[in-house]
Amino acid sequence: MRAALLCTFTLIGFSVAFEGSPPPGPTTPVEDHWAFKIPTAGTRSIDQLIDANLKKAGLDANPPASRDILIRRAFHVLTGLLPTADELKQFTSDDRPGWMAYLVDHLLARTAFGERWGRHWLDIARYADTRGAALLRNENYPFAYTYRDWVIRSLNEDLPYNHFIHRQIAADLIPDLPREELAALGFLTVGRGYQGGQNHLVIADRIDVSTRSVMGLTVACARCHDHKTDPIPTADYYGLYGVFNSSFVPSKFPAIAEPSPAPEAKTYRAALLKKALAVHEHVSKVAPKYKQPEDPFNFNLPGPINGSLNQIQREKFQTLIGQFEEFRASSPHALPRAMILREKNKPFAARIHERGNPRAQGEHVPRAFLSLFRAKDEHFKNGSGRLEFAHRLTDDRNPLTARVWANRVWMHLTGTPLVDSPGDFGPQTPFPLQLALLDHLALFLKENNWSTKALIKHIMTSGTWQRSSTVSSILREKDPANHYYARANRRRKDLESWRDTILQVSGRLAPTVGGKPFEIDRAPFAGRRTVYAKIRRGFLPPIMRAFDFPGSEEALMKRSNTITPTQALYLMNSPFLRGEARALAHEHPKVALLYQAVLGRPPTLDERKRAFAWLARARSQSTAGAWSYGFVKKDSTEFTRLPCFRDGQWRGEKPLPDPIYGWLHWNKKGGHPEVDKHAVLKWTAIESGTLNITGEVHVPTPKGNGVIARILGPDGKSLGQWTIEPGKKIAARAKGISIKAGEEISFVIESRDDPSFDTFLWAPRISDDRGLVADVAAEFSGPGLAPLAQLAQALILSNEFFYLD
Amino acid sequence: MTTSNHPFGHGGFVKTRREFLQQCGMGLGSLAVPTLTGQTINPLAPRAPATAGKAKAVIHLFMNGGPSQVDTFDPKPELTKYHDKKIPLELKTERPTGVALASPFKFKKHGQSGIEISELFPSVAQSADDLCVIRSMNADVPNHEPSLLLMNCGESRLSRPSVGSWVTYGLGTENQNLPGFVSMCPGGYPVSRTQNWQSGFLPAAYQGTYIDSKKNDPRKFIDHLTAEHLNRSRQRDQLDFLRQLNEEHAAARQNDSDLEARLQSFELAYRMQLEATDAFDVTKEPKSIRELYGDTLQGRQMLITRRLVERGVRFVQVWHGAGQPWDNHDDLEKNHRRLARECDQAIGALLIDLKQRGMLDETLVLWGGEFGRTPVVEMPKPGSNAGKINGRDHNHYGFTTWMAGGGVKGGHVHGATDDFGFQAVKDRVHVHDLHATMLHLLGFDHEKLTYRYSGRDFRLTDVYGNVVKDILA
Repeated sequence: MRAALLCTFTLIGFSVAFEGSPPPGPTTPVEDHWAFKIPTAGTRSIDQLIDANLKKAGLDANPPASRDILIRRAFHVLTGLLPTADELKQFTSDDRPGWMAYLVDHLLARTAFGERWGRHWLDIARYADTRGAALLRNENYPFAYTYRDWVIRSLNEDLPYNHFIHRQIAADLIPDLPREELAALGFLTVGRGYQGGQNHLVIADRIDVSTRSVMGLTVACARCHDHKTDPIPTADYYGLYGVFNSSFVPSKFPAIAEPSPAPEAKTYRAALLKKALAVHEHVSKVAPKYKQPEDPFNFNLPGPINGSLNQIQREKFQTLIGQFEEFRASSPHALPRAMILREKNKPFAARIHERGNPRAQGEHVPRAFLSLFRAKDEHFKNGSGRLEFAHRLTDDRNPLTARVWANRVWMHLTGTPLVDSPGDFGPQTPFPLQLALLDHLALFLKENNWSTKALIKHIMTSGTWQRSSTVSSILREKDPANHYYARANRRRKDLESWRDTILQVSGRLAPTVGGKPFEIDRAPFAGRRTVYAKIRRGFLPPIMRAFDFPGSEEALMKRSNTITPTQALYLMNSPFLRGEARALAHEHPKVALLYQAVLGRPPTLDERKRAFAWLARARSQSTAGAWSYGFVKKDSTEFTRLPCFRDGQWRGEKPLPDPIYGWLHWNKKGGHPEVDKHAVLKWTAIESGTLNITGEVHVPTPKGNGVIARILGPDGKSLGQWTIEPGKKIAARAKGISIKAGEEISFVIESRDDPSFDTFLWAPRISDDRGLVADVAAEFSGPGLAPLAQLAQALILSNEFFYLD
Repeated sequence: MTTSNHPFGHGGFVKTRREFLQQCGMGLGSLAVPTLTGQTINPLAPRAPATAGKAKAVIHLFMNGGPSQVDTFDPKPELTKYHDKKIPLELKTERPTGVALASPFKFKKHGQSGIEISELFPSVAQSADDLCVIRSMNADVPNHEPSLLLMNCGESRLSRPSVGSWVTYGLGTENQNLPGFVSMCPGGYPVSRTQNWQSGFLPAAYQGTYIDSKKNDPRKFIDHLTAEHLNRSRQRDQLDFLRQLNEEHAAARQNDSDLEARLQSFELAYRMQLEATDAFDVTKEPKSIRELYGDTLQGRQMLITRRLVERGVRFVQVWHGAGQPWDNHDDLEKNHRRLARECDQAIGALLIDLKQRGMLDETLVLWGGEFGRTPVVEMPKPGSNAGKINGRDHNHYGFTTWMAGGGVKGGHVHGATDDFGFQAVKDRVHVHDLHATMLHLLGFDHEKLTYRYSGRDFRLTDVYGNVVKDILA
């Protein structure tokens, strides 16, 4: 028999009861749990603390890494970008003692710092530009970007971390803040949307993000019953529920900039108003009693009107709002707005929902902070208590927040956290090996007015951070996970840093900071930094999905770091990489320049030789095969290539039938001619020789009037002509064709005046007496990549480019 | 798996992914390249389990959303008697429920075994004598996400490796040019998305490869599967150049197998381009076979499934559709009829085709959802349903799955629910028991197939699970 102990699962938002045996309780009393104790000040430095553990384990620390490596490492962790050759030179030759401190200051002052670290924060803020419920009609959060930009700006300005938290929880309640700061509230409001409101799930999400991400406590687990393993009773959850349910998202967000007087902006505003009025007109039409509100952007319907709409009318209503929002989301003239919360007139007095069920209302609980860190009768006094909650998160009596942030800063700088579960510091989390170091960092943060930048500099100027990443056999054997930090972790670039550095070396990285998101997988590919890409919650494009980007359904505490063939396919075959390789080769049209640009070093002599030999071979082989796919106009001899390659076909711009080229196309098996254009496949010889051609022409559809096939030799003379009747197959062969390098053979299909049903299969093979020379079925490909661009692509795929020592 | 048996064991087990790959010497895929450590063991190389299992491959047909047992494989005449009346059994599910709702579908006995199957699955019923129907399944909670994770990963809340990952970890895979573990879902992801085929703490090589089987062009099943800018020989030459660059880079950085793993990922990707395109191309099947499966989405994905298993893919999971199609809180009759019509012919064809080819003995086919549905009607609730009072709520107390092939008894019914089909009462089979049995059929003792992580030996069944001996052939 299983004891009917009920447990929770609330992260996704369903109230769930589990049957199971009660878990073993924590082995030590909760008050003795390391993370719940106030950190005590020590006198030892980072290096002394690390060395003490190394000594105990009998491990020797690596020597410092070379200057060159350290500069790249610093650029990577602080900006996610590469140093330019000049920067590398400049910082390598800085012989001041403490040069690293200067370098760190320099990098911390760049906008790129906030772009890199802002994205770290956005992972745990489960940031997205959409609500993420596919069934919602107005899916976009058109102003989510103002929160993203606020995060980036605040990190760049080094807003003290405690204020950074306060504003994200309660910017609307802090006196005298400039209005732009209201955007901070996006932390609470950019979470997942639910069909039909589901307010209790929205609140669960807000409680989760503000406790797990900030304090490393899984408070949301207490939604349905007392936390199984942590000292968090259900009453604590509903104490916070009362706080968050005392606020609401207003129907209209406040603008945080002045409207532009530009004529385009005025036109935009007029068009926007028109779309808003269309919504009200629809409602007026179907519900004659409806009175349009004063504010045309207020789409909240009065209860009775709302109730009177039928399914179809409601869908139309929502579609119109969706169109309004889409227009506003996509226009560059829309005023930036802050996704705020507002206080309700009367704070909400929460009752416990028994087993998380909103219908089973239990006892009243006062709005209050977690009972673990407060006196029994200490409740929030002012309104909702949201501001008090914000302050309590960074209060001295709460030992978690500083430790949790210090752990994250360390993780982002070194590659691994000191506490392996950055979102769970509860009693289940074992005593960390480097607790003394963690406490040192947490206290340093507080003593330095919660300055994140000061903490970063403190860590990066330590000897520990500057060690080499060499993995000796002893270290591999004794400390494979590098818990002792005898070495630096070799880092593989994440999605943002590899994409951004590729754009950097191809010369396409756009300097635009902030603003509306861009579509990351839409050609022509924008050169903006990845942090500005539009994030569709739960519906990530392949590039994001393949490279461990968070799905943004809930706060992600630590990214996974996979190596998969899916990633390799993206890097080998995606149009994005292809385009960057082309741009790169165009920008740096020589082998030595390419190496310098991508790898930040000239090629060795061997590499140079190898690259030249490789290029010579690539040039001789004409990348996309020696085949060209095109047509010759009727009564002409001039060959023209088909302009587009899509879906495995060479054809016109639009799907078949294209307005210009009609059904004309080639694929790897054959194609289709048009009435005024013969389909022509051309092969160019790489070397001289005597050739034979084999293959058969097939018109599979037994309708229409068939086609005529011809093979033309290098001199343009016919080597054979065949008429293929509908549904028939004919062997098309030619022998003993003598050809010189650079000369061509053409394979021509013409329709017999009526091109209907003229789909044909023809994949000729060319051989000489030694064997097969060319086979279009095997060599068929899209537009080729020039040899130097192929080389450029290989370089940006290399481990040397993807890893940082 | 016993300690001595596992080819890359480290005292039986390996600790971290990094260490794991170090011991393997190779990352993904296998090439005859001597590695830095001189070892050539590949994490996906085929391996024999401790004892020879009957099943060599698994096909998991996932009816996501939760099909109703009393409308498919678990007939309940009592329910008809109680139709529109309160049943003397009250069990709490996710949403409010009301009186008994009789099944609108007719049941009939099939095959020599006389297993009763409803009119929804006439094609599957043709293979009744190969089916082993478990009518006493039960899970822990009546909610999709945790139940999906329980069914797929053996744990409903925490992040754990999926069954497919455990199986490829245990057995490797027979074809190094295809993923060892494929999860196919037409038109998008099921609920809980990629968590359903995650490798958790197991090396990423064991993660399921997702394929959108709704796409028409086999080259598009996997994103960017085709090189459109280089012919094959040029791409080979490019990758050879890359490989040399990477090998020189790695030679100066000993003891870091991540580097090797990434190098190998390009080799696997290169081979996948051809092999996968071919495997997904059902037009290469004779017309008679295509007609057997039907020219439908489900027909195509079942046929692809057979082609994959035939080519040595170890574990194929096939989802009915994106989201949770079988989740019929309203209009159960209409929707179950439609859903069954979509997949019945294809599943029936798969069973027949596997059998004709002699593959069924070595292939374990599993059909079912994450849970079943209530025999009682779901009551209106704003935001939950359309209030039509003609559907069924989630039910984890009792539901049905069936297996076929791979060493299970054919024409066999195991366990039973109560008179109304609400709760498993006889020979109950928990999801953990199902997992233990699946591993047994593949040749593993579920208590011994473990992986050391974070200081503990983990297993698919955690501390639970009993092999259901009664269903073994």
